[in-house]
This record gives sequence, C-alpha cells and structure tokens, in this order.
Amino acid sequence: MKKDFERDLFAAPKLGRRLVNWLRDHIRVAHEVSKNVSLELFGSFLTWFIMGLSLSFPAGLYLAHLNAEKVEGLVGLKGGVAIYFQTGTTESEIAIIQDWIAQNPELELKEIRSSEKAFVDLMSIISDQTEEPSILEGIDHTVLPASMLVELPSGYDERRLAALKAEIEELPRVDFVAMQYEWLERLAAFQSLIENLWILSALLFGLASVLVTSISVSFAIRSQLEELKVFQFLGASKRQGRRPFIYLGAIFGIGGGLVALFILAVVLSVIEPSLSSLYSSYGREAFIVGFDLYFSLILILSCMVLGIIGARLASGRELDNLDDMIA
Amino acid sequence: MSQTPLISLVRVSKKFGSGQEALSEISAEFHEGTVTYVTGHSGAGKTTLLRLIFGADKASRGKVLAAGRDIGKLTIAELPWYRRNVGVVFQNPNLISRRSIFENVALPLLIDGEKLSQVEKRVRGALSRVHLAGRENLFPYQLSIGEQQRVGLARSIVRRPIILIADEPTGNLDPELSRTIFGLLSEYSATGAAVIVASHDINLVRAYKGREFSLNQGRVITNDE
Repeated sequence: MKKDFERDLFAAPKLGRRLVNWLRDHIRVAHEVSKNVSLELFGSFLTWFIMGLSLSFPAGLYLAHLNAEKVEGLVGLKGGVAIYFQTGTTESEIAIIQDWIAQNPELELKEIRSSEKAFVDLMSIISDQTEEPSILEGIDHTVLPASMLVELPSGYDERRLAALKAEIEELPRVDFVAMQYEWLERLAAFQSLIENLWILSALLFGLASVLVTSISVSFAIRSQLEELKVFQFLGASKRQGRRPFIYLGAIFGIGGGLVALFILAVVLSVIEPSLSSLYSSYGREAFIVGFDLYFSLILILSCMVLGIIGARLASGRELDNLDDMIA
Repeated sequence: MSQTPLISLVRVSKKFGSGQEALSEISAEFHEGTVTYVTGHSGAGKTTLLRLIFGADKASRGKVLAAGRDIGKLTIAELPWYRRNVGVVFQNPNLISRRSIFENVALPLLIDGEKLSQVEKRVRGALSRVHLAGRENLFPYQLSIGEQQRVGLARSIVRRPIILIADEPTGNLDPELSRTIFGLLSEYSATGAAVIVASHDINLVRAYKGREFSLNQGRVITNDE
C-alpha cells in the first residue's frame, strides 16, 4: 500500500481519467437529483408552476406577434396605389405605364379604369342615389380621368413609399398618385407594439423566473448544508458542490417550460372558437402559426437556461463560504 | 521513515478576527508511518492546528507545508486534490442521515468518480477494517454512537489517504469505545500514513504508542520527537 503514497499530494489525474471521472460524477448527480425531485414532487411542482405561469405570458405574446405578422397574408390585406392620369390620356399612353409596372416585380396591376368606364360607374352610382339621373345627361364622358389600381406587397416603410410615389409621379401623363397604405401602417404599429411587449415581458418575466429558481435552489442548498460540508471536507471541488444544484435549476427550468407550454395549449384551445369566427368573416380558415415543435423546444431550452442561471446565482451566494463552516 | 517530513509547520501563528491568538510560533514535523497525538485542554489550539493542516484555514504568519508545498498558497482548484489525500475524522462523525452506511462510506470514492465495482470492493474493505462488515444497508440512526464514529473512520480511510487527521474522535464515546477507535487509528499508521490525532484525554493517549505534541494556549509545551 505504501506505493500509493508516493503519488503527488496535489496532482490531478491525467486528462483522460479526469474526463471519465467527470462524466461518472455527472451521471451520479443527474441520477441523485432526479430521485430527490421525484421524492419532493409537490415542492418542485410549485416552482414549475410559478415559472410556467411567468413564462407563458411572454411566450403567448411572442405567438401573438408571429400571428399578427401573418394577418395580412391570411386575410388578403395588401397596400395599394391609385394612379390618376391627366384627362385625354390615350390607351397607348396608359400602356406605357402598364409596361413600366410589369417590369417592377413588386408591383401588381389589379385594374385599369378608362375615362369612359369611370363615367359609366359614376352614372350608375348617381342613378342609385338620386331620382334625377338625367342631370348628368349631356356632360362630356371624357371629363373624368382614366386611372389604374396597383397592389403593393407588405413591408413598405414610409421612406420606400414616398420614393415609389415620387417615381410614379414622374411618369408621363400621371396627374395624381394616391397611396392607400394607412391601415397597413397601423397594423405595422400594432405589430411593433406587440413585439416590444413580448420582448419587455420576456425580460421581466425571465428575470422573475431566475429569481424564483434562485430562491428555490437557495432553500434546497440550506436544507442540505450539512451534507455539503461533508462533501467539501471529503475533497469535492466547488464545481462538484454546485453541480447538483445546477441540475436542480435545469430541472426546474424544464418543468417550468413544460407548464408554460401546457398553459399556452389551454389558452389557445379556449380562444380557438372566437378566432375561427373572426377568420371565417374574411372567408379564411383559422389557424395559429408558430405553436410547433421548434417553438416548444426553444421555450423549454430557454426556461432551462433561466433555471441554470438562477441555480448558479444561488449556489455562488450560498456555497462561497462553506470552508469556514467545516468544524 | 523518510527524511522529508510529510507535513511541516514553520513558525506558524494563527490569529482570529477578534485578535485572539489561537496558535503562536508553532514549528513541528509529521512523518509518514507515524502517529502524533496533539494534546491539550479545550482552547489550546488543537482544532486550529488540524484545520491549518487540512487547509480549512490559513496561517496568519509562518507556513504549513505538505510534501514541501505551502498549503496556504494552494489555489481553489488545487485544494480539493490535496484534500483527497487527507482523511478527516471529527468528534461528530458527520454522517449523512438520509444515506445508508454503504453510501456514506462510498462518498469519497464517488466524488473521485471511481468505478462502481471498485467502490463496492473498497467500501466493504473499509467497513471490514473497522469491524462493521454486514452493516452496509443500515442507516446512521440505526447504529450506536461508537459504530457511527467507526463509520466516519471507515469513510476517512476508504481512499487510503496519506494523511489522516482526527479531531477529538472519542469525545462522545465511553472508554472502551475510545480504545477501539484509538486502536484503529494507530493501526492505520502501519499503512505508511501520517496520523495526527487531537485529544484532551492524556491517559488514553499515553496508553498508545506514538508521539505526543502538547499545546497550551496556542504554544507548544511538549514535542517528544
């Protein structure tokens, strides 16, 4: 046995051996922590529930943000430009503008209204609304300008819109350009509001989750202080002392993420009928985008990271002075 | 016995925040294969001395050297590796109540990341050495104080440490159990380890072969090297 004592008192084992030991220690800790959590399921569930409740709010807002982005496409909302020509513009002159639009892939020509058609439409409106349609008889039918309706894709900001308007106004025989984009701007502002809200709430509720985990882990550490002192004097490193609590934080986070997913699933199933009737009023079928496997994994992983941060903060605070307690 | 001492204290003093000097200018050497009994009344500085050797405290002045290295200058990363070579027995065996005897004794090996087959073999060996074979599956509360102390001893030697320190290991035991523990500690030195035992029980100490190192108010009064 004496041969054993010839080893260096301070030497760590070789890297390969340390890696194997490190892996074995992780397996042991993961097993022990899972066992402890399963034995104290009620206490763990409270932490999961508080975390889940906190994180379902920003996660729900994120889904709302994603879906608000899709609203335009889902209900067929697009911006438009009405181009009015000078009176007397000929069909061949209008065809030149038509070619210009065809060359621009972002623009889609929806309708060309000649001055005659505009006059007929006006006559039709007047005859519907007055009992004296004859008042327009004798008026020159070319008095109204020809016009063109062009559809724009979403995502145009104010600067691009102004540039497009100026460009169209420079085209020959164009008299006036009306941009029909205000409602899309309102939608964009609404989307931006939701985006800011979900980011802000993610920060605030994320912080709350870190604090909740930190407090729960602190309690766990305090209840195992005697055991930790024993570990310390048996030669466990600081990392080994922290490891069970990092795992505990990760488990709290994963549980919180699962609870958040469950809450979101319940909320979505509750609001589904209202959404269906809203979407069907646009002749579309209702469906929520974003609530999928990828979203679920990201949510669970984010919660796990928050749990680990909380555990790291708690273990750093509680375990720093453990050496002083060895008696 | 090798020429180079395993542990050396070089003019070590320890002062606490209150200004009270627990150790004053202590110099001593502890060699492999020897038993040293650190004696003295309560407050003499025995526990402080052991804490310095273990690396739980740092000397205010002087050096505590282990195999030539100053323990006070070990980094946080180095200290656990050193401690894995030092077995510790306290007056209170510090067993973990929710773990079985086997699990308590296995802890040092699990911390090291030993293979489970190796852990099992060595735990059984250590328990057998302290005459507790067959009690592996019991829990600490099912054992007497003397048996618990022996479990603490088994845990401290299961790694086969090169240094074994014991702080009043018989403080809570009756004379017969005390002799059993002292006998086991003394036996362990035969493996080549340096065994350092702090005790206030002079009569018990003198019944065993070993060096006596007496402290009084932080100063050495006997060092029969």
